[in-house]
Amino acid sequence: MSDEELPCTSVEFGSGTSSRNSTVTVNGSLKCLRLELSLITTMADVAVMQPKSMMRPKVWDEEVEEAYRFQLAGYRDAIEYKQVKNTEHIDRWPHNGYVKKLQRRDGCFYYYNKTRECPDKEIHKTKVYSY
Amino acid sequence: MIKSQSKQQEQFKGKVTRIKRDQVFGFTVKNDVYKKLNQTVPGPPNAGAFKPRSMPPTSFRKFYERGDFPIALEHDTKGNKIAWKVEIEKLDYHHYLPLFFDGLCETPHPYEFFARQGVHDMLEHGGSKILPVIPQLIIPIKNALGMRNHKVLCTTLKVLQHLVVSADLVGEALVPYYRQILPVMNIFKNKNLNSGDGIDYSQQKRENVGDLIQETLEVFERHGGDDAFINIKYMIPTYESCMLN
Repeated sequence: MSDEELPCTSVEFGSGTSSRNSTVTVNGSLKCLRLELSLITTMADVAVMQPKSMMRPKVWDEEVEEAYRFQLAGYRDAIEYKQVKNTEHIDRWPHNGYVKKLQRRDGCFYYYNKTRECPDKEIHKTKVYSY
Repeated sequence: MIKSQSKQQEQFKGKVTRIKRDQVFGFTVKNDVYKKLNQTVPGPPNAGAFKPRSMPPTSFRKFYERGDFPIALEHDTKGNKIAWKVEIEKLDYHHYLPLFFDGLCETPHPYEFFARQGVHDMLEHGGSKILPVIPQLIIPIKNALGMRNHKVLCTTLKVLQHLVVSADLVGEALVPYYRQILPVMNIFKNKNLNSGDGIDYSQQKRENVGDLIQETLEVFERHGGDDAFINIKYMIPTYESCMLN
């Protein structure tokens, strides 16, 4: 019988106590567990992730708008914002997904419009990072 | 002979200057003086309907200088944003929104900027909290329009357009107050630049008062419900419907 086909009902981490947090229940095969573990490691990587490269855009698009809004508030992008604020939640406009509200590092709030905010003259000053 | 003529001329000049100094205008009792001298009677003075009026410092300025607003003062700001110390959702709209509207009368920096941007942010993120405050906004709006200042007019008209679309039923809630808001729009409705076939740059910058008033009235009509048009027509007889035609 291969690993993938092993039936698995529950896997316990740590000392083996049956606390609610330390138990991961996987229905089906170990494949699910591996997927979950890989997800956890990805999230851990994000916490210390540094950009590999940066480019300055020439034309406006939604990615530029996103970067512009974060950089106006003093952050590199959404990843750094989540890391600094230690949160997963970012307020966004429901109809188009643009950022709605950000908290600066000093605790003040910036509110953004429903529509495009990045003016043409600011496009080339915006930095789009890739990882 | 010549000496007597010159004396008469001097006397005549003296009379004319005296009349000018008294500032006698048409439709007054002193018209007879002009008739005796065979002079044309000047027309009546301007009523000053279009003349900008001044306003005393507003309560917005007082509150701002006292530091009562939850906004951060920063001189290295990147652009046109206000940094709010408190989340807008948690603000008391009954207190702050009328105060920010009061600041629309201000023309000097930074009061003008903070009032304009503060109103914009609060309307954008107010939602259902805006509707109950409408009655308190009418007097500040009326004061701002009543200044007849070009810049203040443009700002207030844009704010009105934003106010109407900011939440449901706000357009309908404004209909009973047209009597306070619309008279000044009636005065300036035809204020437009006749540049022939030249370019009117105020159109691009959205500073053409006549166009802004037309836009505002159309937004009022679209969002004001069934009674909006007839109420606008009552205050501004030259307005034509944008929906019925």
